[in-house]
Amino acid sequence: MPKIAILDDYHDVVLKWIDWSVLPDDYEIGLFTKPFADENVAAEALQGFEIIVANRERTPFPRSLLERLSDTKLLVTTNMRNLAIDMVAARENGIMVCGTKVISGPAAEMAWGLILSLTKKIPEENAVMHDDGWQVQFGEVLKGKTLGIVGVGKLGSMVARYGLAFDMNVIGWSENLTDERCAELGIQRVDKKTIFKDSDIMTIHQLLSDRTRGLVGAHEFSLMKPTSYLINTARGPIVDEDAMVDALKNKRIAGAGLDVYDKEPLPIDHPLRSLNNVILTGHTSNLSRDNWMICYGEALENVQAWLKGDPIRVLNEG
Amino acid sequence: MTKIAVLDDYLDQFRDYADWGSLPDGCDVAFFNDHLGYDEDKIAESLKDFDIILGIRERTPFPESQISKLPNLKLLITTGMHNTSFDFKGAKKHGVVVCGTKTLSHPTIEHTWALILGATKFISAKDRVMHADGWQAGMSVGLKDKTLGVLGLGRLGSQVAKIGQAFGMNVIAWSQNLTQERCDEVGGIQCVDKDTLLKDSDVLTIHYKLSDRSRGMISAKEFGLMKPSAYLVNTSRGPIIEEQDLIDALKNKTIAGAAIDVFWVEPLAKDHPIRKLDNALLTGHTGYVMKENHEVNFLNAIEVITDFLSGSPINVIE
Repeated sequence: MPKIAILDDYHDVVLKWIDWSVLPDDYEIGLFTKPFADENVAAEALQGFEIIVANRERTPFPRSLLERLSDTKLLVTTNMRNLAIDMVAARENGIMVCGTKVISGPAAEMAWGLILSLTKKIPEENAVMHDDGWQVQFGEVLKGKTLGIVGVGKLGSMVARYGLAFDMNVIGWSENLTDERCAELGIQRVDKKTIFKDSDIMTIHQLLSDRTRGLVGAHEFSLMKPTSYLINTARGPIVDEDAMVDALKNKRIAGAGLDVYDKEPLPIDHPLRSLNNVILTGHTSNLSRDNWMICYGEALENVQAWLKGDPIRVLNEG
Repeated sequence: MTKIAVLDDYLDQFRDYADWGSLPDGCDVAFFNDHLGYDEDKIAESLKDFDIILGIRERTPFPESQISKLPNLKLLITTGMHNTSFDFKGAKKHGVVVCGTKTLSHPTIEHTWALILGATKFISAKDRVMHADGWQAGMSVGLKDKTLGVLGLGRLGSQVAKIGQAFGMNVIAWSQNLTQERCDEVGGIQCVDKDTLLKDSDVLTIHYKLSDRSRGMISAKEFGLMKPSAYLVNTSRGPIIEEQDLIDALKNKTIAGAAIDVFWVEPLAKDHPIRKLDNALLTGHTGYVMKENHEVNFLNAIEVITDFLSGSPINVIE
């Protein structure tokens, strides 16, 4: 009997929200609601599955794992890019990889949620209110402050618009950012050093690539204001995590709002978890029912199209 | 000697937020850190020697019965130019001048958005599990293309609406005297009737002054019209919502959640049932509690006191 694996459905909703019964009757679904402990566990658990539906980068598929998946023919990932899948190795091992659309806007909304929660101390205030307290500390105003956006693409532009609506002074930088693009948005283009020096709030909206890996390191933290906040809803490795922990511990910056990490899920003993000047969320910016309906609706379409011999949204064609 | 009392300095910081030494010679300022409670005789005992009292918004009420127990009182100041807990006519009867101060509106606008994003992205709950050993807690609700309902399109409401538009939300508004003309002035907002506002809003935010007309404006009937997926946000005044009806609506999941900064009696009773509800995001009337705001309040309060002592009072509230 052919088998299909649905991975990393931490909220156990994929079978409830999407009607998989449209697949041929003889298909058996294996649901995995927890991450695999390591590659060996994954390889063993996935033996016998012809089709695997992965969620973004939650389970990595390097060559070493793909080579062991001798039964797998189709690997569907949510999103049209997935840096954790070795596309070439998949092809060489006879595994086709297909992607889906995702709504990317939620990451911009999440970034703004983190900015406001940090500056208005929402988690602390909410915590004392759910106990027996009343007011912990003073919040900070955003109006008139400087918002620095690293990477002014689709998401960065959305965040720039939020910043302008809050009457912030918005500046942007990335390697290829043009004055024209900034003028369109009504923001100011600055150089890399300036964005670190001048931002009261700095938020990262770049894709992870060799060029952006470690973009924010010890040197950059040393340029930032001690009153400033760093927001990362893009990808963990864009920031040097050790340097960040160091900067936060030593109050080189005032705080950070993070949705993404080097290793996800964040290790239980990670030092970030014990810092009180950070607000942490577990890569949840894209987790919304609206988004899941789109991602998994398309994932199901991908499976159906592949079964008919007419695959769609293929990511690793030769 | 002019004795001045500054009340409700819960966070013990007001001393540093203004140059109190710039008051005329002979002024002696005392700061009260703890709320004086609601027993008029006890309050009178604490405040009987003071010539001038500076109250922070409605934190300590001054009805006529209280004012009559303060024979030395000559000037009563509130931060902001509105105060529903001060009896202006009663003060006049007892020869007490009541003045207000400048205050900023953007802290409340920003706080409203911090609550909207905090509630729809579950940031506090997610942050709590990340500061323990968890990873994800709950899905987010996307805002783009959803409907923001604004109850009261005045100075604050219209600014909150503009930010909603920056988030790509569809904004509707209602208040008793609201016209489509006023909505067009703000731009891109649809004027609807009260039922439609309640039925169509995914996020409903209150920006109304407390008056006999608005007291209890949101009660069981209104909750019954709202979507089960809707969020209610209140940064205006507690009594605009019926207390027990809100608790019931949250307990019974009539609505998805509420984000509340203002309460029926403040500080909120330590054993108040709303403190126990998971779907309530709560802050203790901190929307205006910003360093920047108190600096503006107190700078102006010093001017008010100085001008009053020189015989030409400013910012008098009749």
